[in-house]
Amino acid sequence: MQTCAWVVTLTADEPRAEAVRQTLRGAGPFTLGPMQGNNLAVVVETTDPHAAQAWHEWAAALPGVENIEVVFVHWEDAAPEVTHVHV
Amino acid sequence: MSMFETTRREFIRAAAMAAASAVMGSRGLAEVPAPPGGRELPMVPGVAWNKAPCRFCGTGCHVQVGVKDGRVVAISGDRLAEVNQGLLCVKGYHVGHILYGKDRLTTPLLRQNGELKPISWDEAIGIIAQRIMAAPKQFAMYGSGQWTVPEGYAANKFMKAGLSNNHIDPNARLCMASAVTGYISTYGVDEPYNCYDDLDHCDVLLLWGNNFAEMHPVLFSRFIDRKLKGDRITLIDLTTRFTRTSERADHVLTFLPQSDLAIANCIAQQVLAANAVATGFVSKHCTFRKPWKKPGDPQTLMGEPCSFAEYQQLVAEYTPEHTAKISGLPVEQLRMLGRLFCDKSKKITSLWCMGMNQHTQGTAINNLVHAIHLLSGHWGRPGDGPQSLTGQPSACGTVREVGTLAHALPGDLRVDVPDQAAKAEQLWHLPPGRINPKPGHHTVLMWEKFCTPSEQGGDIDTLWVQVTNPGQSLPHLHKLFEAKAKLPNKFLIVSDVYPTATTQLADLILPSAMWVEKNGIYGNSERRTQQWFKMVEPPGQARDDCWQTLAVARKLFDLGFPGMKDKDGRFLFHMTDANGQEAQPWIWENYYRQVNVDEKLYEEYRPFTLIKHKDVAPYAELVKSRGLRWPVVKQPDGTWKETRYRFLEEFDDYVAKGKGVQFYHSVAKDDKAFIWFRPYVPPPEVPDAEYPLWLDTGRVLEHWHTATMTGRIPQLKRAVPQAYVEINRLDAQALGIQSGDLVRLETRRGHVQLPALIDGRGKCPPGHVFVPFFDESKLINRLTLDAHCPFSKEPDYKKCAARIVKAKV
Repeated sequence: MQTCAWVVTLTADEPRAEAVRQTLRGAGPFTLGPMQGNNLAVVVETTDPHAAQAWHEWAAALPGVENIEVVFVHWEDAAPEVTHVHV
Repeated sequence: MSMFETTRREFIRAAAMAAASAVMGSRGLAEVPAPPGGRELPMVPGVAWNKAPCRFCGTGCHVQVGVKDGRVVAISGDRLAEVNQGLLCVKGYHVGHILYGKDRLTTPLLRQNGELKPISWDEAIGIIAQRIMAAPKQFAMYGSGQWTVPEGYAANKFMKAGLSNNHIDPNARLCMASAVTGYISTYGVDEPYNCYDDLDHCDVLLLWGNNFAEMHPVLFSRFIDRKLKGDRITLIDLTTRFTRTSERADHVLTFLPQSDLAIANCIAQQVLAANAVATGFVSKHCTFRKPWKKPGDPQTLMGEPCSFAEYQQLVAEYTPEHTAKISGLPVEQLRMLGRLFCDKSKKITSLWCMGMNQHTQGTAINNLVHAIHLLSGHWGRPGDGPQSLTGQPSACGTVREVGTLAHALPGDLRVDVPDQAAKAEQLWHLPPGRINPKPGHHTVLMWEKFCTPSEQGGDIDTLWVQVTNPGQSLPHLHKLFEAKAKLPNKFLIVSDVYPTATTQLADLILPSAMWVEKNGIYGNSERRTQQWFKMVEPPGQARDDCWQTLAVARKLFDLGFPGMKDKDGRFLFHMTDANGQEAQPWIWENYYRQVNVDEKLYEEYRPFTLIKHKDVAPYAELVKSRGLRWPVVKQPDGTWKETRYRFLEEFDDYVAKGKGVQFYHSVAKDDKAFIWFRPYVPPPEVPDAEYPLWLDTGRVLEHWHTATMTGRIPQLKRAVPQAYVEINRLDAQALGIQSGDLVRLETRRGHVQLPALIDGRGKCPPGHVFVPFFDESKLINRLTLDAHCPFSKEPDYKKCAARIVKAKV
């Protein structure tokens, strides 16, 4: 399990911002926290560490998402499968 | 799932939510106050937290590293760190994984009959010492801006004080040497006068060939966050290709390679033409400089004095119309830049990194950007000034401040200035004359000499690389690295954490500890010195680079090498414990037991920094802080004050009272900065009928440097798995190439096969291609030029002539 915390900056356009919140609430790994200004706290929990990155890219592309900052990652029981890249 | 596990997950989720909420609460504040009761770290069961700077770029973000059962298991942005205020980029939040690649080097390896065989540390140290004893002047060290401050200091002292040998240079020569010569020849002393606070105060951010969004993403976010909050601020992207930075820019000005010189002169021409010179500031604090006695003579680093009238005359030809022809920018865009610098009401921050530094006229363009800020008076207010950024975590701290360059000594002193060398000998307790007054080989020359047979003048026989990967990052690799393969008498020693392109040709490989497996100190781009403690054990027999240097030094001492003694006959790295007993840190078991070696070396180094007012903070102050910006000056009440802006009386204790502004290390000893004229000079290689394209190389967000670390993090590797050649759609159509097609990219120096990328995250203009250099399976530096700036000796990775053909599958 990998747990990430994001600060998501939403558009100032409130109907679009609300649409983003609705979309995130409806998607699997997200727990939404408080808003401060245009910033929304979000926790993302995934069993596959690769999935967190994919969700990041998905969320960043949502209309109304201006920016996503990651502030915390815990992967204690999701040790990465590190590949040998040397040729 | 057990109830215990459910509760534990809920705990971690709550900790994560608290981390995000706390960052939201503090972001955007220039000063980050500690709330009553402190700013607790995420509470995760069994996890102990400690601070460290991120291992990657020169921004200097602080992370909190979570350790459980001897392993790093969590990373959190450090909310007490002014630099990043709790935020991290995609590399930063994966930084903990860099320790755990399956192919970590864990034992010393010696190449015997072509095979790498494990040997003991004693054998390895002995082999190095014997090579040095046999030919101490043919030995060289090559390090980096990833050396910690004590590691670099020990290596520098070992070479210059111990071996009387100045053949030590870092890979930072390849990334920011032009900024160094730019600062020194403008202000008389290296490193920015300003700091990241400018991002919080500027009205206009002007980026000079700098893909800020991908290279320094946390700083970019700091600026963009202001925009998102409604601040009326402008981003201008002066660039040769469209990037993620361009996507957020208000103005994207796409210029032809090398023409930044003409553009800067054009801004100066317009400031002069509009009578917008900051006359009071300039007459009081600046003088003018030209690069030669007369046009046609070779340019020199410090140039010649020049009158204002002569300066005006030299700049006069760079009208917007003339410059438009050189730069490819429309006249109106050039006029927009001119109007900007004529407007005193706006605060302009100029930033740059590799685009200006990796340039055959790197010193010149650095001089010119400082010049337009000084000339127009856009200098000296928070948010109003020029600042270079660095790409490595301690390019400033270890290379520029410790002086791990072939000509330098700690504290910005030089080996070839007798009184400065004498001062270093005094501080190092050496007999007079120990320091060799002749600068050693700079990076390009060092590798050229190593890759040249001894009988043909190749005077470097043994080369020890620490903390970097020149087999991938040097330019013109066939000439400067791969030629070694045919020279059996040359001996390459590589200290590293993973197998790399460099270890492939190594004769001796030493396994190193990395990041929080050791104590460390870094110095970031804004003069901030940052400290951390060892948190986990390195794997196998991996050991600190600094220990490796000390162990070789001690072996030489034991073998009777005279340079390893100070003038009283004591070991060069003599240190004592709290009871006054001599410590033996060269014995690994003692290294972390008897003394804090980092603290001992750093406190020995600190007096050097006082000489040119670069006073780094005492070690104990660093331990308490998230880094402090030098000069850090003791106040009457006993506290230590950092300096946000140098040379300004309001901020800098070293400015004489009543002066306002004082360039107290100026070249001419008159407290004045130079406003330079440097002419536009064409690049050394330009596209022609045979090689019709410009080739530019650089980086991507997900990978750092040669990806020896980020390439082993699956999430980052998967995001950008391999290098590609970015090609303009029109060029691709003309060549019958589609995105994903394998193409062969060629220059006069080599070729590489790559997949084509059309309309990716970066977009080249017609006639240009771009290739990132992180991929060791596609060594783009086999194609690049080793032509370099005559003063900084920094090569130009950003422009050469290339051609592209569809590869045969």
